[in-house]
Amino acid sequence: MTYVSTILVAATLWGPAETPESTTTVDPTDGVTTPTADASEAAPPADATETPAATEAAATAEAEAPVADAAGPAEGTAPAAAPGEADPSWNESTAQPGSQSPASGAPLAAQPAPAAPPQPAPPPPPRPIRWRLDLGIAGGGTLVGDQGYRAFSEGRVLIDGSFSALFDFRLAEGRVFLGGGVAHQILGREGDAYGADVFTSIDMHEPEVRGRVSVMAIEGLDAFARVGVGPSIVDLSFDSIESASQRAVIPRVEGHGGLSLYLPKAWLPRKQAGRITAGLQLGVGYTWRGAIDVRPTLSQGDDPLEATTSPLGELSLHGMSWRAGLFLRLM
Amino acid sequence: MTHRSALFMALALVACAPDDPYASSLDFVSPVATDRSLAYVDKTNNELVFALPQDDRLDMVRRSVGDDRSTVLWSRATVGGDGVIVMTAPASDKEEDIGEQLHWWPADGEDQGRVYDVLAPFTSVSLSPDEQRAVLHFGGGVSSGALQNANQVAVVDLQGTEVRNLTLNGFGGRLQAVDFPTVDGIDGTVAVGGRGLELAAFLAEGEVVLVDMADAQADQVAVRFGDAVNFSPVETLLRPGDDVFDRPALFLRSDVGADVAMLTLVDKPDPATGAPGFSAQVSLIPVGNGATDLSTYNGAEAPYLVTTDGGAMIFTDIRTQESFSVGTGGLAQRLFMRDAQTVGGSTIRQAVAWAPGGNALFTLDLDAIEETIGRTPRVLNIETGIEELVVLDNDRVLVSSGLNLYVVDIPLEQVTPLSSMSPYDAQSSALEGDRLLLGTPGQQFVSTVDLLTLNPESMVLDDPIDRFHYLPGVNKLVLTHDDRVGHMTVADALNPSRSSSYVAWGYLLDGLLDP
Repeated sequence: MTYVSTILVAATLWGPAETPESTTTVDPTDGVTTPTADASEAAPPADATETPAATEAAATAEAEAPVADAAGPAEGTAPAAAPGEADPSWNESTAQPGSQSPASGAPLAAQPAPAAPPQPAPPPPPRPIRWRLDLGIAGGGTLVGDQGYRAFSEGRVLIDGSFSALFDFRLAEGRVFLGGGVAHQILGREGDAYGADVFTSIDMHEPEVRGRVSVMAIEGLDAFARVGVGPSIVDLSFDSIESASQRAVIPRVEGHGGLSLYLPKAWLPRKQAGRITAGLQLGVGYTWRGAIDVRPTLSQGDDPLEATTSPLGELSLHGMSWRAGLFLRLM
Repeated sequence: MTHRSALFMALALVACAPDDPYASSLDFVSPVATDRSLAYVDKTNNELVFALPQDDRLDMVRRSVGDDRSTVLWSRATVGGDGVIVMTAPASDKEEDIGEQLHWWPADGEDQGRVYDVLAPFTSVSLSPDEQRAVLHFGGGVSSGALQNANQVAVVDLQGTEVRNLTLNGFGGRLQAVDFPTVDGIDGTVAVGGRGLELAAFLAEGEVVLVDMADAQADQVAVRFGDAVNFSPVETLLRPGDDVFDRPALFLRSDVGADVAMLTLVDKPDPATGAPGFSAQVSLIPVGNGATDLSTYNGAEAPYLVTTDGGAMIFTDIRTQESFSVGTGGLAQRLFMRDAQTVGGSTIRQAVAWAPGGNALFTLDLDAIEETIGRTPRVLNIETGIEELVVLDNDRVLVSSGLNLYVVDIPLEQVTPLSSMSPYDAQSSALEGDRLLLGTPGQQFVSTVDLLTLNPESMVLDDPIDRFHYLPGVNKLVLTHDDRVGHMTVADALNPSRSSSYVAWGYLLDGLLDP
């Protein structure tokens, strides 16, 4: 919860300084209620799907600050009314009875201005989710079935850490989002084989291109399926009195299904106007990696004798895999 | 899936995880060199691992010896280097249905091996010079705390499948060594009464037992020297019958006492069955202060036993036991014979005596030795002293002495010192034609000496030598380096050079990832 709280605070701090915007669409899936007409609302909604009350409020607002284009971009790209024009409190203060203009030449007298009643901060307009950009970090593992992997690890799990950036967009105003992005995984293990006779290590870098389809079951909970493809750059080393190493580049395909749990808009400080949220993600699936014919190269000094090493066998690092992580979502 | 079933599945995954195949340490026995391979014993996996050097690569062959309930006791290359023998025994005294076995594999590991069932976990083996037989025994001590018959032996026919298990019919002396009395160390038989005997001499404390390995029905011949005689045999020398002395004689040398035992071998059929047999007539020959080495020489009319006693060569007529000695004037404890050419072109025998710690080689022409009064040996001085001597061929010996290595040409009486910054080990050498090959442990050079020009050349290696091996079957020098996963340099024995050499590393990890 500490991380979530931290991210929540960050989301609040990162939220853009809102200027009143008009909102033209009500998201049917994210539980947005139609805003009621408010005299302090700078730019009321103006969408054909609005409720009658909203339409009325829009009509009222149009009388003071006409909306340039009622069918403008859904993200509120319609020009907002100027604050001076739309703010009734400003009009009231300039029409204060008994006030005099300094240009009238009458002696000035201190006139205590009556204090304006405190105005509650207007709630920002709702922002329906049309696209999302997820920036994530995660940790996971692959349960490697190949016994040869035990030469690099006491256990069978190949641990990984990763960071990713994925963009997706809503399909047909529905609950389904489709998109893709890039990720980079870093994996590494150190071990020893045959007691301490041979020290081994395996380091892997796995850049990948990902595709993702996710279904927003309810706002705050997505089910997703994810496929990643990319090379696996593997560095192996074997150390005894001498040392040898090998770099191999093998293909890799990963498929995961899982759930994303994130803060819904209703829980965000800016409610429906929130642009940033955060959450947790857990995926389970299978990672296939091509086999490596391991035959390391002996590390030698200057002008060495020709060296040969023996084939150590085939290493296959595929198996059931999982990944859990945190993500920051811009939308 | 319920939480409970998920938990069970997770537990099952953990429980089904196989044991770590890399948990135990590498346990390789030091390799033995055959004529074409190095053979390691992988005690962890009960395998014989052949490393076969080729021109540009190292081929590996693995063969099973025993199983996971047995353990390897020792391994040896056969005399000719054409194979490897490995002794296996139960890994634990609790394994009752596992027997002791001797495994034979050809040097390249390719053809089918042979397995011999024996009756005991023998700790030592002696190989007959004719490559025919291996004698397994407990000369190196017993291998476990269980009760064992210290005089139990097995005679294995390495060319066939026969195993002969027997207990020495001795007098209770504990077996020390097994020797094969042969003629010139090559011929495996000695004629006794018109029959050929393949003799094995079992040397025990205060006694010797002779066994005809070719005849399982023949009685053993045991000779006890008794408590009154200070004699315990350590070395044998066979003199076949000839025109000068027609009966074959077996001489036994003792490190204690002042005598050499002479066992004259005679034909003696079994008195009960009439089956062929043999016996021995024993006599003790006094040889001055005792014998530190022995050889034989036929004079014009007398058969001589030649011994050294530290400062002289003693010639004893084995018929009359009369003797005379020729002083060397220096320390002389070891002896070997060679053929020498006289000025007139005839070939004579020559005795060469030397001693570890001595300062000279003494050569004595033996022609008409009994008629030449006052003949003294010629002296070839080794200025820095002798640590070790290796006979290269009939004419040349190699002497190591501190930082110096001497190539001694005996006919030319030429002593050529080869100096280096570190001591050379004469044992870590081989002769390839007229080229001497040297690879001393600890050094980072493999050296060659052209024995015709005495020009030395050295090839620098990338790593210090741990052991030197010469594989004559493929003309390769193999210099192993210290690394438990296998590290060697392979060089052409005919012309070692860096351009034709290569390093092989990690060959004992071959197939590591396919457990």
